[in-house]
Amino acid sequence: MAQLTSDNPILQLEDVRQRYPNGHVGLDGVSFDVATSEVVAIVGPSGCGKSTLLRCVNGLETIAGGSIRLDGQVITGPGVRWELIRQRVGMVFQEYELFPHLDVLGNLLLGPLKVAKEERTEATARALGLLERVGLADRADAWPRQLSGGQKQRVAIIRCLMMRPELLLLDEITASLDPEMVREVLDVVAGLAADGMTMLIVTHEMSFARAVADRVLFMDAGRVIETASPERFFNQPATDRARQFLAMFRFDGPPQRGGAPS
Amino acid sequence: MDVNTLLDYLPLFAQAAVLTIGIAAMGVACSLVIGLLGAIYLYFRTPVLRQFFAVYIEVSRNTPLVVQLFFLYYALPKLGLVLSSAVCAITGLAFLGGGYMAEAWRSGLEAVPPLQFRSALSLGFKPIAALRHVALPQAMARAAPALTANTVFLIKETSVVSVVALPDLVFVAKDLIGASYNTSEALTLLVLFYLLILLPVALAAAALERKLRHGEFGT
Ligand SMILES: Nc1ncnc2c1ncn2[C@@H]1O[C@H](COP(=O)(O)OP(=O)(O)O)[C@@H](O)[C@H]1O
Ligand SMILES: [Mg+2]
Repeated sequence: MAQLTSDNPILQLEDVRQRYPNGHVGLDGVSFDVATSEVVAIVGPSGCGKSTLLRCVNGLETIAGGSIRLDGQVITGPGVRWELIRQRVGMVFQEYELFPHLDVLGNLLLGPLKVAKEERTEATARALGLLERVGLADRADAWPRQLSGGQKQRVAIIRCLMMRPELLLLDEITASLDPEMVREVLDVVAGLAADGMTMLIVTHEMSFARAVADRVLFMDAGRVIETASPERFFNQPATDRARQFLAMFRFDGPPQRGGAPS
Repeated sequence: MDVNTLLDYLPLFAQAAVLTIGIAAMGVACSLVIGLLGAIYLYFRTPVLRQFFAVYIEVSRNTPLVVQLFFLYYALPKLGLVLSSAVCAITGLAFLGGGYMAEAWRSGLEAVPPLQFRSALSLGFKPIAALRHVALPQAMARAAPALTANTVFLIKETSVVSVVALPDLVFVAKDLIGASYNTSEALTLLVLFYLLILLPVALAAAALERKLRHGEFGT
């Protein structure tokens, strides 16, 4: 298994355990570090705990054991001001979650104005700059209902960026999109990666993970069971589970008997 | 029907209308606030307060306003609490309306997808700020028809406040009928004045509803 620690980590998870109120174990001891400007792709079968993991990092689930550090500071345990942490850790969800009662600009400005108490003119200028950057300069006063799924996700991403996060968590942000819209959203994410944004990306877009990630974590049943460079992971997965998983993304005729395709 | 009698009565009705509007406005405003608080405690499942409001909603909605007013005006003084007629009327309306408004707010809040709330949290909003800036505006758009229907209902309910000796529109009408038997004139004015109060409210409510719903639902 690849080295779990990296230099200059912005995020450090150590033996993180999580359990849902119904007793289901969401995370069963997860440890890894993320370095500044690193892009980590998290892949694994549905239900293996990828979303749970991201939600724990953002305080939307409470962990039952272990610790999470952001920039060296422990952010788990009692008395954590999650509203402060979450300004530093942005999260985009699979479902389009723009605020439907606000237009695009209103969505972008809500956090900066109400949470960060930024100046309106300054925030507006930043918002328009970001819209320009993701190719939506002319949609500032559109309502979310008037946007395509791809446009909504692009706005959701820059709504996070408006808070100037140190770390971005993306949870299958293209999974609900029509295929022709996936690319425009992934292009935005690839641009962020090129700019040095630190990201934890849960995705089923394997070619995207391969192209953009610095490292791939493979999860199964609430654990990280493989950590590798994209090259290694996609060419020579170390575990049977990973081989089986990757085989599901290839179509090379009817299933073969006995073992995964090579 | 005598036009001169109508004109003679006009100032009396106008004065009573001011009182009716005042009582209704206070009652509606209080019930909106009580209802909102109740809905928030129910929404967040706050222990104790949630049970308290659940009981309150049932009591307020399942007792007639006249009975609530009788209680406030005649029973409370026996228990040592004397309230003026106006305070009784406003309290009664707020008590009744609070239950209805709580249900309206609650159904509005519950219709807002939980992910909306989570998205706001993930931007760094505290729960109460997420409620205020994200969940409530959407809840309001969804609850607007029920909230405005309740407002009109409460204004109509003011027609029973004369039982606590308040000189409102109904009181004046009854008074004039008793004193001079000009029944048709008095009742005509009563109907007209209630329409005069309620029609603008209904129109304003419809306009507000359109405005609230525009963003999310289009026109
Ligand atoms: N609120 C919940 N209560 C109980 N179990 C849950 C809850 N949310 C998710 N789970 C379970 O936890 C496991 C991990 O879920 P999740 O993190 O959403 O998986 P993934 O994102 O990898 O598909 C799944 O088996 C799922 O059924
Ligand atoms: Mg998931």
